[in-house]
Amino acid sequence: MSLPEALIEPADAAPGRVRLGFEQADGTRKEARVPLGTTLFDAASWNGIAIDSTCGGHGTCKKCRVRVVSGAVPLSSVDLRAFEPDELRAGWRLACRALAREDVQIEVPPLQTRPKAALVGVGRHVILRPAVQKRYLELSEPTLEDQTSDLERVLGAMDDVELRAPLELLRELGGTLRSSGWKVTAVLCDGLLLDVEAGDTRERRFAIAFDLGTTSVVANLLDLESGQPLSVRSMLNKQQPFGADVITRISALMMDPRARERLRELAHATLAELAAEVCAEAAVDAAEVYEIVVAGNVTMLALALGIDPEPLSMAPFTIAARTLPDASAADFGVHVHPRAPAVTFPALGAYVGPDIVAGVLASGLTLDRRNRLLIDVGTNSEIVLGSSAGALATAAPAGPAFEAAQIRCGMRAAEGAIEGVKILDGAVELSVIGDVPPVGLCGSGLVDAVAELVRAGILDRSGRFVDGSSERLSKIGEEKVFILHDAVYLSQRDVRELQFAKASIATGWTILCRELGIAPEELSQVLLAGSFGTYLSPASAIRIGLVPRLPLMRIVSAGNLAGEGAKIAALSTSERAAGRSVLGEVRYVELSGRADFNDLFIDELSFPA
Amino acid sequence: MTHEEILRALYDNTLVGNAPEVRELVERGLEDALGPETMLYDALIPSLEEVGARFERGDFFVPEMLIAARAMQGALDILRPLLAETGAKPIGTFVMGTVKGDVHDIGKNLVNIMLEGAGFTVYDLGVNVAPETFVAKVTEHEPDIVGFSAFLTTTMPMFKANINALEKAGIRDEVIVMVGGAPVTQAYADVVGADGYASDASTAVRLAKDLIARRRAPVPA
Repeated sequence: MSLPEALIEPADAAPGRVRLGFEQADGTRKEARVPLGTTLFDAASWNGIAIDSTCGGHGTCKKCRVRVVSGAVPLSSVDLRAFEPDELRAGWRLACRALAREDVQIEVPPLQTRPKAALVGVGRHVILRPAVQKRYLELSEPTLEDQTSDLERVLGAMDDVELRAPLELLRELGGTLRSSGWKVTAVLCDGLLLDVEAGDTRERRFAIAFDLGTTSVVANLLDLESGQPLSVRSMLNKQQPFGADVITRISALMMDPRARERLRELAHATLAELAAEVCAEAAVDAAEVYEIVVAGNVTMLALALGIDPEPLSMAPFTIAARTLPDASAADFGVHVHPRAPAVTFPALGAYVGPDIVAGVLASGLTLDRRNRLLIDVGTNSEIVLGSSAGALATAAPAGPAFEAAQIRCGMRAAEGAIEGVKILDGAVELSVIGDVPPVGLCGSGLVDAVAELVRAGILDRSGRFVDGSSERLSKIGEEKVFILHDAVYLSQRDVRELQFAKASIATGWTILCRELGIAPEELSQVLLAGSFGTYLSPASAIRIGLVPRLPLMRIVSAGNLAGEGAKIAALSTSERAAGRSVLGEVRYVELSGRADFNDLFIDELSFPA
Repeated sequence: MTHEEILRALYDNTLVGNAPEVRELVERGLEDALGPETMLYDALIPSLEEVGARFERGDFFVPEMLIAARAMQGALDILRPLLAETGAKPIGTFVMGTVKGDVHDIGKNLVNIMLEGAGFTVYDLGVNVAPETFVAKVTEHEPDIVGFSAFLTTTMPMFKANINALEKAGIRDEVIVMVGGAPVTQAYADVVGADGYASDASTAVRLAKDLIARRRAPVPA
C-alpha cells in the first residue's frame, strides 16, 4: 500500500475531503468521506471494505483491482501494465495506486484469493497468524474397549499442542460430541481449548477490534480467515454525560463513589451495542467471535474494567499496571463467545497509553530508521518520534479546541459542520459536511479558517484580528468576530483557544526533536492520526504551526491508528508480541516540570512567519 | 538615547513582549545611570498595567499577557538584586504555589509576574506543593497573602486540605488565602473558605491590593 502520497497538492490548493461510494459484489453499498488524496485502498480498508492484495501495496501483485464507475481517477504507471486498454477505458484501476481526488463511485469485485496477509495501518503488511485457530477433528467413537474420556479423546487428537480446558467446556462437550457423530471443530486460542463445536466450522472465525476512545468508540469485525474487515461501526462513548475529557470523568467519580460503577456500566453498554451492531451487519453469530482486542487510553480502560483511575488524574500520574492481567470479553461487558479473551496493549505512562502503543504498532514507527513523527490530535494529544537513534513519546495537553467544544460556533464533524475554509481575494469559500447550509464549525474547519485568515492577513502572527482588513470583521458584544456565514463566525477567543492547543502540540514535538538531536526539517514523515488529525488539511496544519514546515507530501493522514493497531493484534500473534515490545523501544518524556517547556510554549503561541 | 527615550522604548517593548530588546534596554539604562527604580516604576510597571487593562478590555488575551510577562521577567531578573539593595518597600508579600498533585504553572507564573510588576514581593514555591510546605513557608515568610493554584478538577480539593493545614497550625487568621486556576469558580472558592478568587492574572492583582487594604484598614471603633 502506498502512503497517501497524494497530499502532493500545491500549498494553496483547497483543503478538502472527497466522498467515495463503494459497491460490493454482494450488492451492499458503503459511503466514505476521506481526505483528498487518500488511496482507494486505504479508504476501503478504513471503512471495512475488503479488497484483494498480496504484495503490500507496492503495485506488484496487481490484485487490488477495482472499477471506477463514476468520477475520474488518474491512471498510474502501474495501471498501464496491469490492465488492457479496454479495461482501463472501462474504469479499472489498482486501488493501492488510485488516489481519490474527487467524489467517485467504485465497484469492488469479490475476493479472489484466500489472503495470507492483510494490509493494515500505515502500509503494514501483516501475515495472518491469529491467536484463534480451528481444527477439524473426526474422532473414533468410544467403545467398551476404549473408554477414553471425552476430553482426553479431543485433546489426544491434537497431541502436537498443549491445551488447557476450562470447566465450562465440559458441561456441553459430551452432548456436542455425540450429537455431531464425533465430527467436531476445536477452537483454540493461545493454549486454551476455547470450545468444541459440532461439525466443520473452520471457515468461520471472527474477532472484534475496539478502539475505546474518550469521545468516540469504534468496533471492527474481522474475518480471521481472510484478515479482512467485515463491518466497522462507531458511536459516541456513552460516558459523555460525565464529562468530555478524562479529568472531568475522574473528578465526577471522586465526588460520587457510585459513579465508578455507573461509568463502568456505560463503557460496557457502548462496547456491547457496537459488538451487536457489527455482528448483525456482517451476519455473524456473536458466539463465532472468539477474541476481542481493546485499544484505548489508560483512563478509558481503567473505567471499563472498574479500576480506580484517581491516581491517573494527579501528579505523579502513576498507573495501576503497565501491562494489564489477562482479561476476558466479559470483563468488558462484550457478549460474544462466553470464554473469549480480551487482548489489551501495555501503557508507557498515564497519558501515553495503550492507544498510542497500538498506534506505534500500526504505524511501524519503531520498525525503520527514518525520522518519523506521529501526532494523535485530540484533547490530550500524544506525540511519538521514531528515528535511528531510538523512539520517544510524550503527551501534550491540547485542550478541547479540536473537538470544538469551547469554540463559540463549534460542533462535531456532523452534517452542517464547516469542515473546510478557503479565502481567495477576500471571498470565503466553505465546504460543509452534507452540502447543507452551515450551522457550525468542526475541528478541521477551525484549523482551516485560522490558517486562511493568517494567510490573508486578517489575523496577524500574534493571533489578533487586524482592524479594517476585511468587511467580514464585526463585533458580537465586546468581542471581535469574523463572519463565516450568516450566524456562523469565528471569534477572537476561538483563535486563542486554537493557539493554546497548537502551541502545546508544537512544544511537544519540538522537545522530542531536540532530545534526539533531529531538526524538524529532517523529518521524513509526519503522521496525523485520530479522528481530528486525520481530517486536518496538511497545508493548514503547517500554516498555523501545528506541524513542522515540511513538503506537503510528507504530512500524511493516518486514520484511526489505535483502531488499526487493535486490528493488527487480532490478526497476528507475532505482531501482538511486537506491540508488547514497544514498551521497551519507546522512551517516555514527561513535559511537566521541564525548564524549557514554558518558554517554548510561549514561543509557539504565535503563528509561523 | 536619552533616559526619556529608553523609558519609552522599555514601555513599548514590554507591552509587545519583545524580551531580548527589553533586556538590552535595561542593561543600557543601567550603563547610562538610569535608576533601577525609575525603570521599574516609570516604564515596566505602567507597561504591565497597560497589559492588564487591555486584557480586561478584551483587547489582549492570555497569549499576549504571557509574552509581555516573559519580557518583564527578563527585566526583573536583572533589576531584582539591585532593587533589593535600594531597600524599596514592597506593597505586600505573597507566598504562591501550585497545589499537591498538580504540576501546571503557566497561569501561576503569570500571576506571579503581574504581582511583582505591581510591586509585590513573591515567594514562589513551585508546583506540586504539599500542605505542610505551605504551612512552613507561611510561617517563615509571614506573607500578607498565600495563593493556591490548581488547573485540574481533580486537584482543586487540595485547597480545602491546605486551608485545614493552616488552621491546624493555628495560622489561618494570620494570612489572606487566595485561590485560582482554570476550573476554579467564586462558588468553589467560597465553599472551601478562601478569602479571594480571581478569574485572571490582572484581576488577581487588583483583588490582592484590595484585600490587603481592607485588612490594614483601621477597625472602626
